[in-house]
Amino acid sequence: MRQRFVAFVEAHPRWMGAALAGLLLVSYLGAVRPVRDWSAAHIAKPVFESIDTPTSQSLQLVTTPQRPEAVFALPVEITEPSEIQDRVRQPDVAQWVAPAGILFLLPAMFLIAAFPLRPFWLYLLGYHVVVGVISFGVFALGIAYVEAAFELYRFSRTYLTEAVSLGVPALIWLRARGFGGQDDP
Amino acid sequence: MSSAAHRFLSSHRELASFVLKMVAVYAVWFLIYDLWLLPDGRLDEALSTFVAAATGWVISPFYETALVDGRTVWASPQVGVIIENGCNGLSALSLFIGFVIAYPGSWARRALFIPLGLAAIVATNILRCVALLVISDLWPSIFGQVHGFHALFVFYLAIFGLWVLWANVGGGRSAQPALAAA
Repeated sequence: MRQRFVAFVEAHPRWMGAALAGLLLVSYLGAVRPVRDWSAAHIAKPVFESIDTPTSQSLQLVTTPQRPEAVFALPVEITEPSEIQDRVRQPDVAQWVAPAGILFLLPAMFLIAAFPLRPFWLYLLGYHVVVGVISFGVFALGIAYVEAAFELYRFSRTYLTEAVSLGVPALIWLRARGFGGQDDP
Repeated sequence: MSSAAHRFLSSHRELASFVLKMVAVYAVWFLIYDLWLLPDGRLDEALSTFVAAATGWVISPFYETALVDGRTVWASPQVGVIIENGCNGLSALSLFIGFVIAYPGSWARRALFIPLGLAAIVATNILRCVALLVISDLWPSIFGQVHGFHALFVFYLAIFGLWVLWANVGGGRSAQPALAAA
């Protein structure tokens, strides 16, 4: 059965690559995205709330229906719901976002479309999880001790995540296609 | 592709070195930007104003009412886009440079490739802004969605292409001794 599937994919690599990328998109919307939302509310927020330090007592953690994949850290003085809604929209507010967002989805779709028989997109997911764990720890440091850790978190969420999202597919692509006949990274 | 680049991609040590260099370049840029360039504002202002002016120039043959006012480009008195700091492409430029510096290659070629790559990314951003302006004119209801998704896609596609191009054209002699020693 598997051999027949492999033979079929090898016979129609472009079409099957596109179909599998579409399947990944559907799976992402149906499974990964809900898991990200759930992990923010039921794993990240409780863990962050369990941190008990003088710094953490000056912060409150909130989630919003508009951004269910994020946990926002706001000063405890902000209590009005409308004020909270307004603050979480500000770009400078500290927010933890669940890993493997669109910066995972787009390159993963590219990898599965380009290499339909290789699980490179899973490698990418693994890298995103590693960066996500690092980011989680850094954000927790920000809540517990020092605000500067939020800046470090912002770095990991922007440049580090972008470097992984683009760098991993680029290196895989180069190794697979760029060596004059070496197709097996 | 050069044998230096081949060895680079085959060596975990070189890969680790590449990743560390890349992260170091981004960290330095992040600090410089956050501590000096963002508060100063002149670099963002200059880039945003340039992108706005170029966008206005591109659409002017198609929109007689096109007007540029600083960072804002108007296709008509009712339709315009503002080139905010996050939209001027500065982070994409730094993302591109980080890879080119970290990936093996000759410095002479880097000195040529980086300005050309920066120009290509700025041109990509101008075309993106033109597309967004046309969308805000013709299909305003989808502007928000396209702005969020399309921005990522277009920039990353351009950067990815430039990285792959650099890996193919940048493999110079200067990278080989370091890789041979690894």
